[in-house]
Amino acid sequence: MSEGALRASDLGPALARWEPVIGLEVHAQLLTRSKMFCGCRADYAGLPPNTNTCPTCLGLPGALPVANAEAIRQTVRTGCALQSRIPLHSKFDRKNYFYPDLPKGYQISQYDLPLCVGGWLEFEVAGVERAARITRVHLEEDAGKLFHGGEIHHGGSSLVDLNRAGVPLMEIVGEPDLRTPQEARAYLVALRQLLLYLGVNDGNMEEGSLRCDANISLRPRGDDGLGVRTEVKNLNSFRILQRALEQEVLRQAARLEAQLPLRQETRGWSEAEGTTVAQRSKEAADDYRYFPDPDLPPLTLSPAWVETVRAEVPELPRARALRLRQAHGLSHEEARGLTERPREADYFERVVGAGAPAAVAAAWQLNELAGLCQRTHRSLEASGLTPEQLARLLVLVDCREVSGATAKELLAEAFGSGADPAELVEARGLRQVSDEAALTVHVEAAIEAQPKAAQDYRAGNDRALAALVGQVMGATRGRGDARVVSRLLRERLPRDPPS
Amino acid sequence: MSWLLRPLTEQAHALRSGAVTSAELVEETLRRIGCLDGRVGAFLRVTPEDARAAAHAADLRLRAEGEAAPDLCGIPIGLKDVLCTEGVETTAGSRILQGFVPPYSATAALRLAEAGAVAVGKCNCDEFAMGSSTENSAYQPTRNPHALDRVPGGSSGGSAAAVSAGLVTVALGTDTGGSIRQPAGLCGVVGFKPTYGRVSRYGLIAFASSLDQVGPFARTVRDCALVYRAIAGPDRRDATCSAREVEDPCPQLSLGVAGLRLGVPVEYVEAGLEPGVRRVFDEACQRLAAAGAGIEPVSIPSTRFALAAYYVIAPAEASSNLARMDGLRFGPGRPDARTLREQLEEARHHGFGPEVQRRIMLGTYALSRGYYDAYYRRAQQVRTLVAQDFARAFAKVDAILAPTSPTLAFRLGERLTDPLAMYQSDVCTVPFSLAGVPAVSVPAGSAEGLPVGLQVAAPTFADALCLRVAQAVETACGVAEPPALALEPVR
Amino acid sequence: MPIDRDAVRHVAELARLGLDPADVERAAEQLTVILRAVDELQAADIAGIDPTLQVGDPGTPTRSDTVEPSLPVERALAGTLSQEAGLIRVAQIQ
Repeated sequence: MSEGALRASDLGPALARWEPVIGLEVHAQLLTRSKMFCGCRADYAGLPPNTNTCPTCLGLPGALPVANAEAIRQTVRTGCALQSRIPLHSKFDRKNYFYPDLPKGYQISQYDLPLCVGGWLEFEVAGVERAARITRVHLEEDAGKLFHGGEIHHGGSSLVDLNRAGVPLMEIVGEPDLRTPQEARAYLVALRQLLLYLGVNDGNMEEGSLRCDANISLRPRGDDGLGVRTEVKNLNSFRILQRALEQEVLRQAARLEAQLPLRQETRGWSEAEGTTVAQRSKEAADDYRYFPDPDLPPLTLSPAWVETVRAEVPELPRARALRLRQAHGLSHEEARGLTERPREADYFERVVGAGAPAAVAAAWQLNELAGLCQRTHRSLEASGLTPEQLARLLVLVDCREVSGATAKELLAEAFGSGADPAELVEARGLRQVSDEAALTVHVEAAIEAQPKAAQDYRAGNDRALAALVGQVMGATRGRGDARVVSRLLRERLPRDPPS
Repeated sequence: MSWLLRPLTEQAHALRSGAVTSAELVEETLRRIGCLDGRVGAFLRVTPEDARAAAHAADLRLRAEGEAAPDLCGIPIGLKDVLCTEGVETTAGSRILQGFVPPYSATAALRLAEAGAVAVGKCNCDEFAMGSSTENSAYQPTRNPHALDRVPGGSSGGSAAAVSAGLVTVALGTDTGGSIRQPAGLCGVVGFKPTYGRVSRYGLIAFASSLDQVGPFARTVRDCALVYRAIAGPDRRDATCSAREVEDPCPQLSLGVAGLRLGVPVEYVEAGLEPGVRRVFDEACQRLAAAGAGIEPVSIPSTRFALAAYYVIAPAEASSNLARMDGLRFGPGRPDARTLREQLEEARHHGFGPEVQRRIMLGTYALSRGYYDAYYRRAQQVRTLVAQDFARAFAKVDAILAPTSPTLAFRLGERLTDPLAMYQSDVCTVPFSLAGVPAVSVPAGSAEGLPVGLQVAAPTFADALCLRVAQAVETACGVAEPPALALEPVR
Repeated sequence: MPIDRDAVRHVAELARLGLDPADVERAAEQLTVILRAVDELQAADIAGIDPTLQVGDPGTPTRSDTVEPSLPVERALAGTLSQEAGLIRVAQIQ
C-alpha cells in the first residue's frame, strides 16, 4: 500500500460506498489574564523560555493549585451558548501520566463531572443548515511545550519550555455526528466563530491557541454500526482538517475494500507527504488512574450564578446575521460576511447607526475596507477610521456629493493615518459638482473645444463621449458629477438621424 | 535549668523583661544541639547564621515593641523537613530531593518567621512523611531522647525529639495518619493536629493531600496553643484551607473539664493496648473524672476499617503527588541515562526508599483500572462512614479521649522488616485523621520509664475546645519531665 | 487478594519505578501481605454511602483572575539537571 497521497478523484467512489463517522475534539485556550491554577500570565506569546512560571505551574514540591474563577466562567458561558446543561456539581480530577511537558506528572482536568454536558452546534454546510451534538465541555490545564533536538525517534534530547504549562484549556468534545470532511470543516469554522463571539478564545490555529483533533471511522452506507476509529491529531488549519479527513476516508476505504485490517491508531498530518502518517502511540492504552483532585474542593454552582453567566452570551453570529438581513434588507452573503467577526459586525452596526444607508455601508465594508485591511495588514480597529467617520463619508457618496472614486482615494489615505475623510472633502474642496448650471458652462465649453468628438458622438460613436466627459472632468478638476455631465452632454448632442 | 527546657511562655516573659535575649536563647540552642544532637539525630541540618541573624532582628523588635511583640518573637523553633524553606535545603527525608533548595517558603513557616520566631534548622522525618518511627529517613534515624535505643515515633520524629530534648522551644511537624500525635506521645511532649483545613498546606511537600496537616510540638499545651494561633487561618494559596476565622484558643484554655462529657471509644480500649499504656490511660481518665468531667463510652464501629481505608487513600494520593519527583528539575538526576524512561526509572528507583516505593505501588494499584472501585472508591466510602460515626459520637459527648499509641516506644529496628506491624502503630490516630477532626496528644504519665500520651479529639473546627480539654489533662497529670540527657561538651 | 509479578511490573511501570526481578519478587510478597490486610475493607457495609470528596469545609475553591509576578528564570531552573538556553533538557523520549 503506497504511503503517498491518495488521489482526490477517488473520494467520490469511496464516499458512495462508505459513510464517514466523524467527531471533533477541540481544545481552546481561554482568554483569561492568568493561568488556570496560578497567577502567571496566560498570554505567554513571545516570552523567553521558562520566564512565565512559579512554584505551582512548575510543579515544585509543596506548591498547590487554586482554580481561576474567570476560566470557569468562560467555560460555562461557552456551554450556555452551545445549549449545554450546566450541572450544579462539578470537580477537577487528576489525569496521571508521565511526559516531560507535564511537570507534576499529572494533568488537572475533569473526568466524570464536567462543567457542561450535552448541547449542540448549529452550522451551515453548502447552504444547508445542520446541527451537530456536543458531548461535553470541560476545563483543564495546558501542558508546556516540547522541542525536539532532532526527531523524536532518533537520538538527541528534548527541550522543555513550561511557559505554557497551566494555561486554561477548554475542551469541547463533539459527538460523531459529522458525515463528510466538508461538514467537519464547516463545524470547526462555526465553532471557532462562536468562540470569537463569546470572547473566550482568539481563534488562532497557527499559533495553537485553538487546536483540533478528529476521530474518524467508516461504515458501509446503510449500516448503523461503528467501524474502527482513527484519531488524527494536530490539525491546525481548516484546510488541513478537511484534507486530512479526505485522505483518511481514502486510506480507510482502500484498506476496507482490500479487506485489510484497520487498527485503532493515532495519526498526524504530514504536509510534505500530503497525507496522514502513523504516530508512535504514546503509551498503549494508558491507564490514567483518574481520581478527584484532593487539592481542589468540588465546585457547587448556584443556579442564579449560572443565569448571570448565561446573560453574558451575546447575540450569536447566525442570529445576528438574520437580524441584519431582516432589519437592513441585506443579502444572505452580505449578512454572513459582515457577521464573520463580532467586532466587524459591531462596526457595521455603528456605521449604520451613524446614518449611513445600510446597503452602501455593507458594500463598502465588505469590499473597499476589507481590501484595505488586507493590503495594509491592519484590522478595522487598528485603522483609526471610526464608524462615525465612515458613515459621514458614505452619506456624501450616497448623496452624490462625492464621487466614488474620490471617496476610495480618501479612504485609502485615512486608513491608518487617523484622518477624517469627510473633513478632507471639505478641506480640499472635493465636493462633487452636481449643480447643472455650473456644469453646463463646462459642458458647452468642452463641446466647443472638441468639435470632432462631438460630431463623432452625434454620428453614433458612443465612445466619443468619453473624451468630452474627460474634458469636463479636467475643467472641474475631477469634481464634476460624471453622471450629470454625461446626461448634459447627451442632451446637447442629439444623435443625427440615420441617413 | 536551661531556658530551652522551660515553657515558651516563660521564655517570652523573660525576653520582654530583659532577663534573656533571643541571641542568648539561640546560642543556648546551638550549644545544646552541639552537645546532644549527635546522639539524638533530630536535625538534618542546622542553619546557625540564619538563626543568629533572625535572633538579632528579633531582639531589636522586642526592644521596639515590648509586650506588643508577637508571642513567638525571638523563640528558637525547628521545622520538619517536609516544609519548604526558601534558600534552605529541604529534602523531606529523601535522597530524591537531596540538594533541593526551594525558591519559596511554606506559609506556616513564613507566618512563624513573620512573628519573629527563629528557625534553627530542619528536623528529621520519615521519608515523605511515610512511617511511624522516623527510621525511614534516607539520611539518619532519630532516637527517642528518653531512651536512645528506642524510636521517637514518626513521621515527625525529629521535631518531637528536638522539643523533647530541649534543642528548640517548639517545632512544627505534620500529621497525616498520626505523624504529630504518635511521636509526641512517644517522646513525652504535646503534639497537636488541627482540624483539616485549619492550617495552610502551601509549601508542605505533599504526602496525602486530603489528610496532611501542619501542627505544633511543644512542652506544654499553652505553648502549643500559641504556635497554633500563629500559624492557623485562611490562605488564598491553598484552596483546601478554610476561610473561617480562627477562634483564639487561649482565653478558654484554663476553663477545665467540669461539666464536660468526654467519650472513650470502646473499640480503642479493646484494641490490644500494652498494659502500661492501658494503665496510664485509665488513671488519666479517672483524674479527669475527679476534675468534674463525665466520662462515658462511645462507639466508633467503623474503627475496624479505618486503618485499611487509610492505607488505601494515603498511598493513592501519594502515588500521584510523588509523580513530580523525576530528577529532571530538582534533586539528583541521571544525566547519563540514554532515554527519558531510564532517567525517570533510575532517578526514582534510587531516590525513593523501599517504604516509599511500596506505598507508591500500593497507591498506583488502588487507583488503577479495574481496582479503583474496589479500593480507592470503597476506601473513600468507608471514610464517610468514619466521619458519620464521629458526628454521631460528638452529638453525645463534647470531646473524645483515646490512647495515642497502642504501645510504648519500640526499639529501633524492631518493626522494620514487618510493614504491617509498623502500620499498626497508627491504629489509634488514623480514624481522627480520616474524619478531619482536631486531635492532640498530651503527656499523661509514663510506664517502664517511657512516656505515654493521651489523645483528645473534638469536632471539626472545635480546635479551641480540643486544646482546652488537653490543658485539663496536663493540669491533672502534670507536665512531663524532660528526658535525663546529660549534656556533654562538644568534642 | 494476592498481587502477582505481572501486576507488580505493570504498576511499577505506571509509576516509573525501575525494579529489577529481585525487587519485583520482594514487592509481590510484601504487597500481597498488605493487600490482604487492606481487603478488610471489602467487609464494610457501604451501601448508599457517598465517597468523601471534601474534608472540612469548602475552603476557598476559586481565585480571581489576577496576574502575579513569576519566578525569575534562574530561580525557576535552579535545580535543573540539564538546561540549554533557558530550556529544560531531558533525554530522548522513547
